[in-house]
Amino acid sequence: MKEFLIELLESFGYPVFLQGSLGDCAYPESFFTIWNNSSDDNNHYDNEPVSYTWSFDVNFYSVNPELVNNMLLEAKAVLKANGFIISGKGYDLMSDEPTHTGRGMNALIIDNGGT
Amino acid sequence: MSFEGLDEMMKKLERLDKDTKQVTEEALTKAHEIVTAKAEAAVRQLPAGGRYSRGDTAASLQRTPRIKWSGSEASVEVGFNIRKGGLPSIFMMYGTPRYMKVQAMYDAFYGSQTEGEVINAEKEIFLNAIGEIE
Repeated sequence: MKEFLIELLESFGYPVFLQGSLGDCAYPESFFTIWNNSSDDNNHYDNEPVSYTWSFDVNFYSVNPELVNNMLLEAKAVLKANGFIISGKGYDLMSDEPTHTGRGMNALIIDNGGT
Repeated sequence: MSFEGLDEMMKKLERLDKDTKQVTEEALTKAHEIVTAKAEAAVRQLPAGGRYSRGDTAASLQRTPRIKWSGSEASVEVGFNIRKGGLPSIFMMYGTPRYMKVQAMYDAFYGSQTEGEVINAEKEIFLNAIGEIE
């Protein structure tokens, strides 16, 4: 599911990083970050989980505040069209750099892939 | 507060002539206690072990349950007061591109385990009030 999410976000043409992984590297002009909060079991059969709910933070940062707002909503539309469940229009995020602002949202997806 | 069977339990409470407001407030107070205890533990996981912390974030945690009623709906505030130094809690909850989030802080408010614990505790208070458990 993580790979699927990354693939969808990369289709916008911006790099995708794991939240917290940039270290001392310079911020790109605009980019996504993701973080997997959980992948809880949903249903069980014969003592084995048969489906999971994955929970991801999806964040977008940019030097362009207008793009920050718009890109998150565009990403929401694409993720929803691909099976993700997203509530609301996101929230502001803190940035390490005064040049960048960020917005984030929580994206859930049901994984029926079994164990 | 929302869980399966809540409406029926409220009706039973009314039929038993119990104080629904008091039971609701007891359940919300318990929910506040559960979330606040988890947030209290999470705030100790500050980056750099809290070396640069003056304790403002921990001090800004809303430890006293304040229940608000709006008509027949009740709510309780949980979390950190941003104006009193709670801003780093947002950083801890979501991280930044350079710093990983503190998962325990996020889970204290949004984790499925917290949600389950709160629902079970609230249910127990309602079931106890209608006399279906002791």
